[in-house]
Amino acid sequence: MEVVQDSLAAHSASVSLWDLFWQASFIVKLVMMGLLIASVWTWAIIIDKTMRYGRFRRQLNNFESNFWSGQSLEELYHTLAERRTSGMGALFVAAMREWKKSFEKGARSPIGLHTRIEKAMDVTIAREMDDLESRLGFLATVGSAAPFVGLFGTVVGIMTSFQAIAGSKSTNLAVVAPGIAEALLATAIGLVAAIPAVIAYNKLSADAGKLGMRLEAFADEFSAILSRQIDEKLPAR
Amino acid sequence: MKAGVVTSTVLHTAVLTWGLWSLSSPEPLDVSYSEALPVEIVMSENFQGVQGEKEAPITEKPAPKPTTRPQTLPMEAQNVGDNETDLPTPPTPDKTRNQTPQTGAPKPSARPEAEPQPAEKPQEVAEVPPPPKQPEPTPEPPKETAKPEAPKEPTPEIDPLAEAIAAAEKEPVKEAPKEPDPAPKNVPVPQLKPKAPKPTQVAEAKPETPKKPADKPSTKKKPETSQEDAPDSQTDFEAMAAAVINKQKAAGGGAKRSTETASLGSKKTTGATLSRGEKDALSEQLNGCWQRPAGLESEEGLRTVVTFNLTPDGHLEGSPSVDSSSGNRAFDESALRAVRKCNSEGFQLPSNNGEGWDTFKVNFDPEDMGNA
Repeated sequence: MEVVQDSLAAHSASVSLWDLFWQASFIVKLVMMGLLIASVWTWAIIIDKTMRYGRFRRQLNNFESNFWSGQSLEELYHTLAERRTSGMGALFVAAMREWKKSFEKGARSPIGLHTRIEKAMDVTIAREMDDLESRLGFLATVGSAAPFVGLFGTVVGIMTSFQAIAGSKSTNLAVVAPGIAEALLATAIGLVAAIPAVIAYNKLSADAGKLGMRLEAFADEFSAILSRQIDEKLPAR
Repeated sequence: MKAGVVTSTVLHTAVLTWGLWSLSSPEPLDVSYSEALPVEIVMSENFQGVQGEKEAPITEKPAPKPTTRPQTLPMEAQNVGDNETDLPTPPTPDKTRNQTPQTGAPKPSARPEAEPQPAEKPQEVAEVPPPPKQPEPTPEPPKETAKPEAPKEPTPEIDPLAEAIAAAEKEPVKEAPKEPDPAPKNVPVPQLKPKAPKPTQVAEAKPETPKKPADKPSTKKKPETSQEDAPDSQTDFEAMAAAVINKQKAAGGGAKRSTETASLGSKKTTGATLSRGEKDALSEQLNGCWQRPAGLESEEGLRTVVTFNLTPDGHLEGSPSVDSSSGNRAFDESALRAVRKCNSEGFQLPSNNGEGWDTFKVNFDPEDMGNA
């Protein structure tokens, strides 16, 4: 009985996280390392996207306030075209550039001009949305796959610990416990990585969807304005 | 993106460091080790054939097993008593205790000592014969005088008395000498009490009707004579030895060796019985041996119960008998034949440690071969 207690005490003394990781088998270590890196990358994406969406939203607000401030489109275009812009600014610049090119060279049909401007804005929106939603797929992947990867590590760890039990020919809990604990650590890490990934993916994709809606709404609005301009100017010629 | 990666890495490192610190040494569970209790599983089948005395008090030790071979004397005994053999009957009071045949002792000294209550008085009388103040002592001396006369009287009466009294005559003569011996030793009181009044009656009756007193002692002493005849008739030496030791055969009760009374527990077993699975095996075996009589129109309702006994090693003891007949003789015969056939093959029974088997009752039912 004393022997059992001693071995128990010895095992319980070395059940810290680092010991659990270090005692695990190679595959389990690999799984845990991979899950840890995935977690780091997930959080990097989450932080980056959150900051980026905030910035993007601010830019949209600033641009809209500028756009509807009564400033002439020409002036606005000149100020924006000189610097790199994103979001609505890029949309506006793309549309104005197409407008200017067509008018400077003398557009023949208003419908063709309108179509071209729409196309240019669509391409810009697609580019902006692609930039907004980049790396969100990784969050989705981690959210769905990390628990399974962790479970795989657990199964492998329990398998090896049972093999060790069979080898030691003892079913004492002190023999069984450390192996199972280190195996369960893999599942724990997988869940730690997966849960924030899932939550963040839902939140960020919803945010990206909202921003995309605003861009499209602005594109439609601006397209309507340009169309009106085209109708006003072309018949005049 | 770089900012995100850096922040995430820093956060993870911080969390892991915190985890290493806080989760490094979980408190070991305080497991109290209790001593293991030895548990023995006892099947109920082991107690099926055992019977005990329900009224007996519970003692720590069960009563010793009843003796199996009564011939060897140093055997275990169960009942308390003075007997050699261990009889279950209650011990009967020994009436002939004080009448061990012996000769050569004064009668008067014996009587007063033998009877505590009446004896004290005669002793006082003997000690202080001159002052007979009490009324009782005065009648008692006549008793003493009467008693010697009483035995003497039957002797003269021998002639008129019938032959049957002849045995009785010897005893009164012997009784008188017997008493002195038990007197020095401890003698139970109640046995002597009835004797005291008898002689008084005899004494009183003597002059009036000599026949009646003669009849009374003869009738009363007859049972005693019948008991004492045995030791007398056997051998003189035994009688003498018994007289010297002052021992007599007890009529009942257990053996002297027994130091414990019966306790709650097994007194006897009625033979081992089979467990359910063993019964099934036996009935299956019998079913294999059973050849139903051909030509029966329908076996429905035919049912025979066959009773048979088996020796401990699993052979037929005696012949099997039909306990309840089915009404169809051929059917009953087939059941009996099945038992005999299985006997020639040998019954497959579990080892029984040489213990006897209870009577087997087997149901021969074509639909359901069951063991009753």
